Amino acid sequence: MKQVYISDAVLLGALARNESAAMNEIYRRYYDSLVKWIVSRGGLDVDAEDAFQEAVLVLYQKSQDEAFCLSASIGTYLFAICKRLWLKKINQKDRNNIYFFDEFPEDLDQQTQEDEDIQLLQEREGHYLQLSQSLEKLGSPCKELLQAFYIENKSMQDIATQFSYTNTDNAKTQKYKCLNRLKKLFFGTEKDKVSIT
Amino acid sequence: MILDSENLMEWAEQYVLRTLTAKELMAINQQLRADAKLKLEWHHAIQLAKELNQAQSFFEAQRQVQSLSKHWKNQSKLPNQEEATSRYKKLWKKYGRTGSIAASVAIVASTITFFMATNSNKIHNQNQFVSLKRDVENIKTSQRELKETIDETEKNTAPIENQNITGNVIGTGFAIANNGYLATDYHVVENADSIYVQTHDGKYHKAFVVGFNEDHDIAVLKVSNSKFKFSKADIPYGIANADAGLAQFIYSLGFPQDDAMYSEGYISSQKGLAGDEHSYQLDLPAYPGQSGSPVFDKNGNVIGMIIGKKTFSTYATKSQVLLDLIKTLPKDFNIKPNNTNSNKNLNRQDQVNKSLDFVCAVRVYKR
Repeated sequence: MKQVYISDAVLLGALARNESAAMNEIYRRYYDSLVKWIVSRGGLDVDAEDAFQEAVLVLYQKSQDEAFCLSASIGTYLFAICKRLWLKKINQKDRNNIYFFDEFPEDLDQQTQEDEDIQLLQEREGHYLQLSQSLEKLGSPCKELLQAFYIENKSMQDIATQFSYTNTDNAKTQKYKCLNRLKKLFFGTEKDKVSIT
Repeated sequence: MILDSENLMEWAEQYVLRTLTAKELMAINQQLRADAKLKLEWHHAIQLAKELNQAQSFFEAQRQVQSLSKHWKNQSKLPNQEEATSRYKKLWKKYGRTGSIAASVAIVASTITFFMATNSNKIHNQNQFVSLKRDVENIKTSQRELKETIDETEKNTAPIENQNITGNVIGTGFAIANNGYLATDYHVVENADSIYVQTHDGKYHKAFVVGFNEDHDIAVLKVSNSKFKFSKADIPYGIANADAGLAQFIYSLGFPQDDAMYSEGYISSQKGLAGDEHSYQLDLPAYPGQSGSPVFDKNGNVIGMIIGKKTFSTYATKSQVLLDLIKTLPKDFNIKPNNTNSNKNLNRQDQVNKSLDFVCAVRVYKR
């Protein structure tokens, strides 16, 4: 069913709660125009898609922060992020190529609010990657079980079937055992301690 | 004592997800106040549970973004349905008034100008948009007389044979369901007194309008006889659900005369008259009587339906408009246009021969 979002704030709230309709709405509204914008500035389709994906994730990450409030519309925010990402990207590339630099009057070295937001996402991404890597240290079957639950977002029912537990309660018990081990791995006395922050 | 070092994670998870009751929360707090070592462990457990919860939603968001990117990448060329209609509404506001005047002029003009062009060799305005229905001038039989004879034959629900039904407007129609549903132009059947469908074998069948869209000039008819079938075989062509490309080869079958006529050409613009996004501009010879003719692409799929012409260009409504109209019809009509197309691998001559059973002349008596 089609969801109607009466305002950007409502849409942002839905995005924060991981509602797939909200994410879809953002794509429906802004995907075409922003991808076109980057392509018209000399970007490849792939670059444009990457930038848009990252911008949406930046917005998602910001939406998780309860203190975050939009000072402009979602469209403006996404555009600012996309523009910044694209500016950085072409700056990394061959500098001899001709770009529409007159369109980018901003100073790249200057740290903007957009940079901070992008950085926040990158930090979190790195962090979650680390977290998922630390699951590796648990070994089977804890590794697979926790990955299935937290990374692949499978239901306990599916996990019970996949790991051939007789019921979901057994799978849950196993999950909490694994979590305890993970906790010890992070905070406990086990030898290869992983820092969490 | 509800907390211990074994079930700590379970409680922490519920705490983070905010599913704890006030009572449970109080019990936990009480226990933590008493046990400093447990408090530290609890703190760690909560930190980990929060992290995992955030990671879970983040990976979920990432997955959503990836699948949506894939989806919208494929979709992005096609305008969203709603946007398209709202854009059309704007267009209608912009051109609607002049357009509808032009259309009503066209309907009058086609009755008059064609008469003039054939009979008195007067040059009519070449830029005038003309609907391609064929108006038959020489009807001498009184309509009532004809109607009576046909009503009699209709009781037997048999096709009308050996009866020369001319009609005062002729268009073309094509089957959208084998059991007697067909599509044609709205202007062909507008204000109709009675409608007859003449199939390829020359037989006449009475028909009536079951649905139409005046704005896009399309109508769906049904042959009255419930046992009627266009052919023993199924409809070979599919009805395209996407825009056909510019410069694509197209051909058409129609009834500007008593026998079917074939013509071919190409799509010269993906927008029709005055930038109308719901029609194509075609370079295709078309004559009065070809209104409602199906336009096929090279695979034999219906991509549109001829509505009219202007000087050298022919205009055709896009097939999506027809599909949208079919969707609005009651479900028990059970019209399911083919997704597939059994004409695909045939050469054009065979395609035409197979499709011919499903294209018919529409003869209309108007008030």
